[in-house]
Amino acid sequence: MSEGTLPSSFRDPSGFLFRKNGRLYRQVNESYAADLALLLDSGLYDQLVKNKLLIPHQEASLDLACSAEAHKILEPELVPFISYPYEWCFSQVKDAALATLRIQSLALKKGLSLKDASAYNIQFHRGGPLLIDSLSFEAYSEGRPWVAYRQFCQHFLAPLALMAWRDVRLGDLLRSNIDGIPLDLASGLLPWRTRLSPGLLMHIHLHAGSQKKHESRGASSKTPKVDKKALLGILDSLRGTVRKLKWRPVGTEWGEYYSDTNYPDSALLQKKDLVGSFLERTGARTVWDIGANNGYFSRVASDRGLFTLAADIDPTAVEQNWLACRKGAQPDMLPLLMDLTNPSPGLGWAHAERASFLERGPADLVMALALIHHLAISNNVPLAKLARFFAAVGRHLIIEFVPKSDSQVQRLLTTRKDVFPGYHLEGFEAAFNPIFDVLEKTAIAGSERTLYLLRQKNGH
Amino acid sequence: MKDLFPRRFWSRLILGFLLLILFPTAAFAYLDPGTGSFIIQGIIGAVVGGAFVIKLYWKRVKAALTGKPIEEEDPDE
Repeated sequence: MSEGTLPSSFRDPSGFLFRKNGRLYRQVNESYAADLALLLDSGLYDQLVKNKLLIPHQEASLDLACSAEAHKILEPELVPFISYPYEWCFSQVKDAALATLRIQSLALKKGLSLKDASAYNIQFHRGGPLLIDSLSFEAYSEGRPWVAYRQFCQHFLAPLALMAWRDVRLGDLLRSNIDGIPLDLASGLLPWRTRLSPGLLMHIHLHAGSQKKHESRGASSKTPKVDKKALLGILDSLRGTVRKLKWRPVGTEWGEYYSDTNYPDSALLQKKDLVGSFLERTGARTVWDIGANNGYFSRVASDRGLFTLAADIDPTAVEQNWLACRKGAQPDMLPLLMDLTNPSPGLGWAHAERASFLERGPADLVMALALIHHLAISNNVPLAKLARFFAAVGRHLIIEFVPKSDSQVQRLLTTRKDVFPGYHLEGFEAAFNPIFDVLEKTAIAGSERTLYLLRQKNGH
Repeated sequence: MKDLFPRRFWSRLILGFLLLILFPTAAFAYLDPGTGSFIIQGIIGAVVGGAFVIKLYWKRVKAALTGKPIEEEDPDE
């Protein structure tokens, strides 16, 4: 991790995040002193922390300050992995939206208001969504509209409505629109019948119309009075609208969606035991299970109290995993939507505001189970390139080699020419050996597959 | 005698007073909240604010009739 100010922390003049001596701090500037005092003295900070809605912090020495305008230095609790809204499944976006609204309701009761409602300020930490920006509050001024209303609608309501009403893949629009989905775009893409939903009619369609009508006027010239009762009504309406948005994958039965594996239960259990023993041998503390499916094997790691990222390309699998995590209160698992053939790039100002997937690593251990054939055959990635990729993701690697004789690989090859003469166990080992040492190698009984525990050679 | 305060003065004063009531605060935020987003809040707030108050009273009436506690949005406050 590089030292200095975080590249994503520059918009708000109230302060910024920086790293010093390997630790993360937040500088609070003098301009924010009164609002910070209100957050702490009103009891809101304690209440939000108690309800796991705000990241806790410790006050650190002012000697760490980066500039003369520093008022206080805070050391927030560390979030092990920063994820972005375009990497969340439907219910993660929804839970983050409801958490934001709940924070705003509690803030208003204590005489404060959220000054921003960015989805990037919410992180999934210890099993739930919470606000990581302690500088997001300001004193509430009676009669003033909610300054973050537009941002809430763009960052949360528009993507949720599009995912629920049009196609769940439209959550990807958050990747190309870093300040949320423009409401005129959302309004145009949503089916006409969404105008029959009072919430979507008001907060997206009419809101988009109002933006267009007033786009050329200055913000300070015409500010309507919105009393507290009206503001609470708007929040209640947003909450109801978000709650009503639902997504269920068409034509899939939740319970059966991922029961279709091609090895017997005994092999599944053997693989689970092997993964457990491999994990313990490495002493890893952070695990990235890439191609995690619904997180079946990720749980081997998270149940041991290791922070486990469970990334998969399939929105249904990630949704199923998140709902299971939420139900079972699994604080160490983070399900994530990720296309490994096109992982999240660096985005925003100078490509640095939002880090790429790999920049957020490396993990102590990477799990790549039943994955290699998808990358090597479906996406034509040569095995040597795969070895280099895995080396960039983590130091240890638990990888399952799935040979051509396996029915899953046969299925991939039925409709295409086999242009993979080097795709076999010997070819796999030849490609990975220059970078990794083999610590363990075990054939999975009752299947054609082999499970490896690899460790990067020194110097890589 | 010439009026100390001409009609134009009074009309301007009243207009200014009305503007102060209708548009009392200037919006200064580090992010542009958007004029259209502010104006629509005034309209939506007028619609849903009343409904919200009725909902709250209805919850109280329901609680009184059923003897159950009022359903709070944030019970752990």
